[in-house]
Amino acid sequence: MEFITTYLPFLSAVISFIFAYSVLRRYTQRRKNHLLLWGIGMIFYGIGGFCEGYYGFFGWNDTVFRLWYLFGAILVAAWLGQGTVYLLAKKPWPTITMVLLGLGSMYGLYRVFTAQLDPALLTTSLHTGSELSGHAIVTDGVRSLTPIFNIYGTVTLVGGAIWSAWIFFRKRVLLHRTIGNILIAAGALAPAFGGAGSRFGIPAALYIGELLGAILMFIGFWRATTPMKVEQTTAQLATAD
Amino acid sequence: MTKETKISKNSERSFSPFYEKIIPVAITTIVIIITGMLVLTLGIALGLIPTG
Repeated sequence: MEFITTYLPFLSAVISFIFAYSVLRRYTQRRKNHLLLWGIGMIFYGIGGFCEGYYGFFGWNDTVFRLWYLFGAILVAAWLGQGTVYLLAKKPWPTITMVLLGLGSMYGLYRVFTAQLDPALLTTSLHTGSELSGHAIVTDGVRSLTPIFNIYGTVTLVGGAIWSAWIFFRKRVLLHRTIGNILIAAGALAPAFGGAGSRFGIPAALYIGELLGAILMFIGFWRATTPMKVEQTTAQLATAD
Repeated sequence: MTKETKISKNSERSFSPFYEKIIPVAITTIVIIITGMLVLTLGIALGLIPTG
């Protein structure tokens, strides 16, 4: 069990940071806003994983908990989803939602860093205390921010990926993007499953879900941005015709 | 190229049988899961589903 609550979240963090580097390097070449936001989102994902690993190794730390809650629990899904909004939505929606997300994130930062905490509450209810959870926040109105950000993030990230996959499938084009988007959608759902498992008392379910999510999204991104050999051959044949 | 020709060309295209079967299943599954999760989350947030 200790391995799951220590090394596993660190592994998630390492994968997330490599993924973020890969996306941001692509951003420097193409200058597309969605790549920048996905890169930032994956840095948040990595910070969340790092804080969880820190808790597993060294125990409670006030600042680490606040960083985890802000980046890992509140902001990550929304910022990743905002990237998808930039990719798919028409102007001026990306700008409007970005302003709202920016303001909301600043408010979240203020609320999380001024909240009262009680680490003893991590073992209340069904939660085992083996992993971090928002139970430790005493101040009212902080935890209620999380579903707002997460619903927005999940709908835009998973919804956008699955919508893209469906469009490509319906037209029977770009198989690699169809598969990539399905993997991204599945990866984005994995931490939500883990979080649900954690709420129902399954120890470390959240950390397993997060690791699976980081791996699936990374493979999905790689698949979506790398044409398959079959498609390349077909394209070459079409050009030859 | 006319609209009819475009539609005809699209309908002629297909992925391999494996992907033709697996992709709709995967998409449908994810849509059902995300819809279920959103309904549950909203239900809990609105107090319609008791959490004990």
